[in-house]
Amino acid sequence: MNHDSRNFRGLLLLATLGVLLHFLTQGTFTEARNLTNLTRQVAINGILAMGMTYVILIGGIDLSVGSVVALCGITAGMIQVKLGFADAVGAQAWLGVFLALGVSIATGLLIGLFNGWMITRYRIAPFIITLGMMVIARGAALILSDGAALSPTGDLFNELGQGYLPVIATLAVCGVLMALQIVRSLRRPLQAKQKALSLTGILLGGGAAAYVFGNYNGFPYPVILFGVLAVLGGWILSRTRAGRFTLALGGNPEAAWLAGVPIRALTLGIYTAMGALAGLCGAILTARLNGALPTAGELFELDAVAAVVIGGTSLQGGSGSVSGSVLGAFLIGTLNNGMSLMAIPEFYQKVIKGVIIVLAVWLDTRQKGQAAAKA
Amino acid sequence: MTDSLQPDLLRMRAIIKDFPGTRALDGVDLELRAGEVLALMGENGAGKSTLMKILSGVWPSGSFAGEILRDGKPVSFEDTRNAHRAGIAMIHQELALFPELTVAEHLVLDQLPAVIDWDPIYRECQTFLDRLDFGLRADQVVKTLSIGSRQLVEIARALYRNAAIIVFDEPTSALSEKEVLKLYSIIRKLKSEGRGILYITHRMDEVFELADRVLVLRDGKSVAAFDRTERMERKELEPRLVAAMVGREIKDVFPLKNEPSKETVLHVQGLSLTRPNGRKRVHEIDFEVHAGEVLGFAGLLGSGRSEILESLFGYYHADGPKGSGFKVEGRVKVAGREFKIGRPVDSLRAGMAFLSEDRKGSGLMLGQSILANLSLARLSKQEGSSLVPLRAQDESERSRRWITDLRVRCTDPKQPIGHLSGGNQQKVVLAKWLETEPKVIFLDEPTRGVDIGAKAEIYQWIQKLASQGMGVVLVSSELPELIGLAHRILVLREGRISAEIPLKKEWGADIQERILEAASL
Repeated sequence: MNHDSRNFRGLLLLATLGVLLHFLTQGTFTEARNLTNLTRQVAINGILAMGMTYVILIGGIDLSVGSVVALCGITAGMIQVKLGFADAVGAQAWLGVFLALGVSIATGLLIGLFNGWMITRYRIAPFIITLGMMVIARGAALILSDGAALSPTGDLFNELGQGYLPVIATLAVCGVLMALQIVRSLRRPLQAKQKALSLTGILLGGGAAAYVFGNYNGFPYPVILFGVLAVLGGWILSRTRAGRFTLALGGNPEAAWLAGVPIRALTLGIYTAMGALAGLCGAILTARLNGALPTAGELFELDAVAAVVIGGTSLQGGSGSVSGSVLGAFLIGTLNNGMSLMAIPEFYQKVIKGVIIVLAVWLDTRQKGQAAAKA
Repeated sequence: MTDSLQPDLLRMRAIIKDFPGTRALDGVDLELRAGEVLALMGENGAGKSTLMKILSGVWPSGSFAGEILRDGKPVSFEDTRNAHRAGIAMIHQELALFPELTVAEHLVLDQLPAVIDWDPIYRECQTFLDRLDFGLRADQVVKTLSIGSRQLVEIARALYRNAAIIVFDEPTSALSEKEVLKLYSIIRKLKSEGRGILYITHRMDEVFELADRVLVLRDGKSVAAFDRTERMERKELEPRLVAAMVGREIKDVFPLKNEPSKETVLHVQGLSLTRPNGRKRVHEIDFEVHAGEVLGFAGLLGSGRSEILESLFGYYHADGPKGSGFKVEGRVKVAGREFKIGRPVDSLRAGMAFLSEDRKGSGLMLGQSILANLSLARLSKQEGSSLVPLRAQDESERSRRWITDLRVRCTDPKQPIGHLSGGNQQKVVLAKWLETEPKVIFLDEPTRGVDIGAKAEIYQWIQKLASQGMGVVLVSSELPELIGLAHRILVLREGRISAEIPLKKEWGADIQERILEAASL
């Protein structure tokens, strides 16, 4: 089964879930405010899931992601709080923002580089080294913060997690993107029916986005970052040599190696990028919470893995897509948000979420099995 | 004819087995009597292994059509244990043993009680082994044994279960001369005890040494059966066997050879490969390949044929899946230019290509499309940033062209390659390497697991590449293939070249024997 038809089914499932939740919550779910919040909640898991897609595609795993988010968040928080940027204004405040963001990303990047180095140089199983790193980074976050929250962070910095692109600009972006997509889809050599379908999709999707974000405060900044990174990640995977190499390495490392794929550099690069993305998420999370918590990001790695797997990427590697993972992240986010709105007790939420993840993957595997048997 | 009083030890009747896209077995009949050796012959892909997998319960009943009779009674196997219980034992080509376990543990593995008292077990096994006189000790750990002794462990295991039917799958391919003779005498003994032996082989010598009857499979059908008790002369029988296996005279399968040029495309001097444990697998080998020449490598399994190509191509580089620890040395010139052995990508860029022996293991990404498989090597040969966008149009045109040129049977370049037959998969792998426009191409068992039709096409292509001036190094276990295609054969033994045999236009009838002699001595 190809990824397009999979994603189409995923979208349908998401839409059905949305309609269902609309009625179950007496319309609260579909309010512009709630949907905006939903996307902002999804953004962090979505960014992590995008990176995790690559990691899983090459047959790896990164369990350290959640702890790295916390550690990097703490570094951002320290710069903001301890170096006194929280009350800064003007150029000083901007310096604080870039410093916090830069250090946070750099910390994540170095940790990712270390993971990748241990995996490629010393051939330690990714599961083991990132499990170790998960504990180490969590400990480091607790040490650096003395176990306490670092807050408040500066207002300008907090924009990164809480701010919005103004409504006018949001509507303009929606319009431009829709126009670009329409032109692209008209120029593609598709059958009339497919063309109509894709145009409908663009109009519906773009219209919905414009309606939701236009009716509230505009695009949240984390959502913009998520959108840009997801598009970039999807493009690299499906349209560049690097993407082809990633799929080849996951599909058969021996064959990839003999065909000249630089498997070591690629592996190193992917774990490093995963770390940098976790660093970025650490900064966003700190900004959203107006402070850094050493206990933040707990189980983020598992949410990211779940999104990737729900999105149809094989844990064996070699097959999958970024768009699937994005859908998976939205599915998990919608579940979390919907269940909270319905005031389902948190303990039950966990059980329901777990069951649905297992169910989704099971159904998908079964479908794949049937497709393979037919062929 | 079946003895009317005593039913056959084993009968397989009208066996049909389908795989996606291919029919592996098409109504095969087989009968085996007590106290005989039945040789099962056929080219790779003829269906021998599939038939044996059905017999040993790997393919359970229901996954194929036809019936199996054991002592005249129909049986059906759900799994391999059922087959064991029916007295059927397989001696696998790639031995199915556990390296860390002892000989005794192998013997009793499938009949262990919940709580084990090892001492009496070891004593009992030792008594059993002494009676067999294989020279095995019950407490030896399998990984410390030679290949020949490991095979004896498998045989001992079959006998310990008191198997009535023992299947040998090309048992001598990795054995030394001495071990082969020992195996022959063991098989004769088993036969005299009234067991039925199914003996899969490619080698004529073995057939004439051991077999009472011969069954030949081709393209999933039983095409011929010969009874050796009818005293047919070897001279008379051998050509008929070959013709039955190949389906036509060998001469017609192979294209005419071209005249290679004087120009050298690959020059190798002092190539050696040392394993991490310090053992040398390839010992200072020198050879050269001329433009337009097909150079054949002959030798037994483990003689270092593949390792030479792998070393040259960069498979053992520290960045690769084998990790650091291997040492490759040697001076190499490709098309006259000095080349430093590095990673596979360096070899690609220098103009080499390497179709590896194990198509599924190191040739293909089975889950991915024809197109993705086909363009991979060309993409990594390109230099520059790997974030530059692909040219989808160009890529799809290229793969369509290869599909037409090589006559790959498929519906679309986007089709998963796992859905194709072995022959078509192999054509895609060949296309993958030809896409890189190499000056010299290494082909390691290019026709393994490939049906006869595709085989002939691959032969034509090898010849075509040579006549276009490419240098070809061909490794093959099938001597007719080497003789039919190569201009020159280097015979390898234990990592060294033991003979060089030119094959310009004429060669003697004893050519196969000369090669085998140089390979095994």
